[in-house]
Amino acid sequence: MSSSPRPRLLARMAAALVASTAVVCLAPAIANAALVLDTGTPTAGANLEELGTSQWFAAEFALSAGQTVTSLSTFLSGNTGASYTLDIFSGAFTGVRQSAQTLDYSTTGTFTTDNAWNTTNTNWTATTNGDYWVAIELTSTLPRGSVVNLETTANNGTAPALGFAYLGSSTNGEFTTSGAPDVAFQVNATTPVPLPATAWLLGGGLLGFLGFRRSRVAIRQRP
Amino acid sequence: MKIAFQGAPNLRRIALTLSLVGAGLGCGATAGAQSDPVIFSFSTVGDSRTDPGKADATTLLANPSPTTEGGQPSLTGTILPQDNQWVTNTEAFQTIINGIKSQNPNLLFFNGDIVFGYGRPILPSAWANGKPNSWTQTESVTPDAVFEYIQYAYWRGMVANLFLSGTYVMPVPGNHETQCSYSAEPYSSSAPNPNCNNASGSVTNTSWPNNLTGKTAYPENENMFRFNMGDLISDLTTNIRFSNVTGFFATNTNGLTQTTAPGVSDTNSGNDQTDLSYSFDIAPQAGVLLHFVVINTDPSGNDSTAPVNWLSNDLAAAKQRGVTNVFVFGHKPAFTYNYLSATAGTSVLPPTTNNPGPGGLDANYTTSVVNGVTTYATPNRDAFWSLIAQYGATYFSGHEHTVNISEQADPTGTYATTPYQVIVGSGGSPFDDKLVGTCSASKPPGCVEPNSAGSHEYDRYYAWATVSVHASGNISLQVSGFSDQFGPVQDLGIYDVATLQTVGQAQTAAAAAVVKTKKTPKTAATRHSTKPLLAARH
Repeated sequence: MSSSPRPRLLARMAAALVASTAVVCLAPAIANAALVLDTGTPTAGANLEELGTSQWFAAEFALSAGQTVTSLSTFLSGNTGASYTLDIFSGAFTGVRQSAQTLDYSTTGTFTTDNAWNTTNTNWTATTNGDYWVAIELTSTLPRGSVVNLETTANNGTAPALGFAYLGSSTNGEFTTSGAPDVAFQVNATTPVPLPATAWLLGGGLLGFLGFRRSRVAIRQRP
Repeated sequence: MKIAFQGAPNLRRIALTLSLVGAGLGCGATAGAQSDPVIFSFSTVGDSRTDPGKADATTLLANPSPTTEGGQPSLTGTILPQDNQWVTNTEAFQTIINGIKSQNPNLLFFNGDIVFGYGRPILPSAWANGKPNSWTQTESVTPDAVFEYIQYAYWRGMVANLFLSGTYVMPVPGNHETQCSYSAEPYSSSAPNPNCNNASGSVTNTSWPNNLTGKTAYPENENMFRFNMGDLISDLTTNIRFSNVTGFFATNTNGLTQTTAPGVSDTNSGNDQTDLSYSFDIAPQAGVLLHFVVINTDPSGNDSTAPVNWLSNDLAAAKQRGVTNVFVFGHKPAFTYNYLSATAGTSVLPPTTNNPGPGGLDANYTTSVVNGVTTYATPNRDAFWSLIAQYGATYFSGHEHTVNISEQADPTGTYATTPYQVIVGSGGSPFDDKLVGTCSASKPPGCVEPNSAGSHEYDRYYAWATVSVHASGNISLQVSGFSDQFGPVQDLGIYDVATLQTVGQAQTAAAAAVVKTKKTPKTAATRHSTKPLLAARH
């Protein structure tokens, strides 16, 4: 059995319309993704901090409730292949003896590209307004003789860090801001599109579709 | 029914092509890092002991109030009781160990000054093998022996975990292990160690010859090193764990018996040098045969000397076996690094105000005056470095409490190569480069304050070096460290060396044309490499 050309065309057009409506609905959310932390791209090779299994490096940034962190990036150099842990803490690291921060989110990343931003996609939404910290530590044993470095920056990117902290062998197992290096981080986050706007777009799309369908029926019913 | 866009196949092809290109790029990054993989690596550092009487100012701690947090750094504070008792800069050395574990090398060569030592650890005669478990109720030991045993035990405990993570520790004897200092803590100039020579060479109860620095190496001290470190060295042949930890077998061991160790020609005494100077080979891949040599630079009977006769024979035999690379480890540097070199030249002779003079193998010098001009001769040092140059080796040392990398020419002018000297005596001992204001007003020798005269950036950094042997044959060096304020571990890029050696260097250097006309020896030029950092690692 072969279908008539007209319903087939209609089905195609309907599918295209639904798809375009969906794109229209989603587009604002994608466009709204922005860097909420960007310390700037480092000058390669300048003052490298070695990423080891016994020290963490962290940078501070602000989030509003409802913002979703979609990716975390660090600028790494050295021998690729190692894996690392990325954590998001809430609260402020000030001075020393700051081990009581709340761990809100944890993920892992892999060092894949030398001397470049290495990005891990995430999907975590902040529930409260406030300051947060993204922190990184090496978790895997490196291949023999390998080194992974975090590169430092002038903290002059599009969204400079509010502060830096680190945890090392000398800090009693606790983060400290004293002497913490300015290491390169980027955090990307989206703000959800308000429901009324989304509904308006979806509704508009559906109305358009119904209008189109009605006009097609009217044309078909003409003698 | 076939519902498909005509362009879809092309789109699929494009998508497939893009994904392949993307995958290729992604894989390319990984492949790039592995295109010249590391087939063997080792780390090296020395001098983790501290000084109970003269700890570095930045390691002092204060407890300002019973109601506030204590242990904050304070120049007027005191040394941590733990480090005072076991005489180790625990925090600095533990941080270094953690850093080395992260880099996961096959070997760690520890370049001496494992303990503060400096006593004369005379054991009861019944302790023929030096083991405490052989003692009896009727035996007693000297305080110096107890003092040194606990320090060795503390150090061994600190490095024990490295074996579990795949890094085997090779010990190098330092002067604090082999020598006795008549006035070192808990003794003093006014109440000297009765078993050691004093500075003027007068003897209390021994006729042992004095040396140039007021410190003297004794067989009992060398025994103490063997008793506490010998198992690590003998395992090169007994292989109870060496291959299991490193992944490689050690072959062609030398110096592990009295007959193969340096003899009278190198010690002037014939005292047993077993396990004090030793060597072995490792073959990480076909065509690469690495030769590692450890030397005792303070043998009893011949302080501040390298065993050049033994080394000459050892390296000649290694060449016969087709060794491609040579790495030599000793405690004392061949060329003393001058902390004032940034502003006042590199010469360490003669000693002057704020210049303590030579402290390495070049401390063993003679002077002669011709027409009122004083010249200095260092025959043992020169012969040693000529061997290093002949075989294209690299020499790693400690003793000076800093990090410094330099290229040094053959002082005899015989060979044209300029091998690297790598000083990494930066494992926790009090820095030689003192903080301004922490020397007494008279600035006695040994208390330099070049901070006020343009010292180098990392003179007061705790640091270690890691050498990587790549599949391509390139051998690179990377220096890692952290500040005297115990900041985060950094790559001390100015000291990284992209090409320390290449595979075959031992062969080609040995065959290199002998210098026809005598060259002017290069002075101890400090290396401040500006080579691209990343090149050192790939």
